[in-house]
Amino acid sequence: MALITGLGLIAVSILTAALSRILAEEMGAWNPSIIRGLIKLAVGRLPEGRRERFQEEWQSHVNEVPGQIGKLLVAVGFLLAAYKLAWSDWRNRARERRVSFLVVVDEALSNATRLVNLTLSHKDLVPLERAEQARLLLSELQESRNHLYAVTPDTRLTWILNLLHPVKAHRLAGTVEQIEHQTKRIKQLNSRIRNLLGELERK
Amino acid sequence: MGTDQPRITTQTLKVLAALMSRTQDEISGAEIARTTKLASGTLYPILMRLEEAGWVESRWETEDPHELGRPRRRFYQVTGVGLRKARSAFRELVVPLKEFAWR
Repeated sequence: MALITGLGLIAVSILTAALSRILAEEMGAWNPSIIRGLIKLAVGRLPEGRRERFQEEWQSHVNEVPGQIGKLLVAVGFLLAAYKLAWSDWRNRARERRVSFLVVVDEALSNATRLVNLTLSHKDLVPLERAEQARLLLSELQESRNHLYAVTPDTRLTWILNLLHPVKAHRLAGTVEQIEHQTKRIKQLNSRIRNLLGELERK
Repeated sequence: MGTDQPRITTQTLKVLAALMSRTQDEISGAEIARTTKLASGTLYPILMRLEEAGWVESRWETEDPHELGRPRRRFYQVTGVGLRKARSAFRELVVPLKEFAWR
């Protein structure tokens, strides 16, 4: 029995050694393509202006790392770095958009307030539907302003939240689009408000 | 150059220390990773933040990649502003550590 177990163990060891060698050879052969693929994937996540630089820089970084597993780990790290860089880029863009958005909203809000005051103080001149329209526009603007604060995060990330970079980068891309969409909408609202104001002031 | 000051974390200090130990010459991302033992996923966002803040500058190596037979390396170097800011960051860190040591 002991002899059979011993022989079995030897067979298993030989098989494991042979398999490991095959695996190592396979990995050696596939690794450069996997690494190239990972770098390409990481670079594709970056903001456009940074892609060319990091394509070359990261390829040269990988070349300096000894060992196939080391190279692979570094390439996986680039993917995380790309998401972090993309996230920080989107966040900066969201903040810039927010500033310009607030300028537009504040101007529209001030016009809307003027419009509401005008409709309240000249009830005899202003038809009821116009007054209602003015109130509606004002409340829409206030809602948009509140919405903006809810969608633009300012918080710093903890290491646990760092793992959520891909999700956050994706969500922030949506946020920037939302802000741009809202800015357009508010510009349209503001132009309607200005028309109404002009109409009322003429009366 | 960005106006935002980079957040000073332990990792940022490690990167700054690596760059400050070689103020006379430039150092590639791979060398910084080796010196600091930081993962590539952590290192490059830090380098970008420092570069955007003007604490660090970078340039490609001047040799032709065709002649080298490999992609060019990008070298990093701490700037004068970076050196001043980093020294003050290290000083701020050392004072609380000394106080802690005497307790």
